[in-house]
Amino acid sequence: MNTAGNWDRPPAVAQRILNAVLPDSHREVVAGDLEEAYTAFAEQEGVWKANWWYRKEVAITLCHGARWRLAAWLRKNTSSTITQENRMLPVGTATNRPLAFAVSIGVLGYAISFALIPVFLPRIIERSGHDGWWMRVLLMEVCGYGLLFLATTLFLRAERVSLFSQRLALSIGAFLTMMALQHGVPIAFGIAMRRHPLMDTQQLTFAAIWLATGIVSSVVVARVAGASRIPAAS
Amino acid sequence: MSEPHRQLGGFEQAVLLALVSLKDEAYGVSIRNELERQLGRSVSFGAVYTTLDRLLVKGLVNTHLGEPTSERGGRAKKFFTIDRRGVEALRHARHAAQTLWASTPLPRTR
Repeated sequence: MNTAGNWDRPPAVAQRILNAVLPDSHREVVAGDLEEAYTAFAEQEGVWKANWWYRKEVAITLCHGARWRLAAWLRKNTSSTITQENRMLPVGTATNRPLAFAVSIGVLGYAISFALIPVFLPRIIERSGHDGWWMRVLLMEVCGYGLLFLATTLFLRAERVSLFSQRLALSIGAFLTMMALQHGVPIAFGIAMRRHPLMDTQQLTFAAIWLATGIVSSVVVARVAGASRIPAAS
Repeated sequence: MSEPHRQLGGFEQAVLLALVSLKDEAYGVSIRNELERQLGRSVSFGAVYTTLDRLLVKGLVNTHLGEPTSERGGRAKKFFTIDRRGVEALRHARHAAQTLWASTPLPRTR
């Protein structure tokens, strides 16, 4: 102990936050390392600097901690047939879990299309005019799934997954197939009902079929492509 | 084409080299100190453990828990050692870098 205070103990609040947020797999080891390093730092640089250093390290560690927690959750909740490497990667895991992959893409793409795009691109959508319903829908859909596809690509690249090109091809295939079926099935439904599929009275049915078709088609694509094109990483 | 587990990033190489250098004394604090000394910059524990996790998943390092010590608040150390596959990956990375440097002369600077 020195005159400035109790330097062998790190700041209590930061320590409590660290212990609360870190996953079980890392808590003891990381907290121990930080405390040991804090003690050495305090002896060399003084308590004040050591306290700030500790708080900064805790803040950085918490950012990494979110990732460790996600990885731990994936390890716990994913199939035992997939490899450790894949368990670390949400999208990589999803491509080995067709249902999760399909539901994620189906729901997210649908949500992005109908929620985000009209907010960011109102002028473009308005210019398509009242008669351009199809163009409007197509635009929203392309942008929505385009954003989702871009996010998927960036994630796969950032995480340096193995078999990047195969996983990317699977994603493209799922997106394209889903889009094609989402347009094709409602039209067929409309023709079978002898009504135009885009009439106002059928909007709700149309939307429900749209979403269901997207999910089902993704399941099929992901199951077929996921099983045959994505071998387990070594 | 090389196997995925043999593809190492720059920081992964630095961490593996630190493990080689530290031998049986490689744990969070010593690895971080060694990296700061070798790289000449500040390194966070978060970055170190994220990289070690990735190397562990790739099967390039092994780990075991040590005894709890009082200087760590009664917490145990987690020791890391490089695996045979880790050594192979380092050799592969060095060979790739040497080949690249040998075939690419740098332009002269004035």
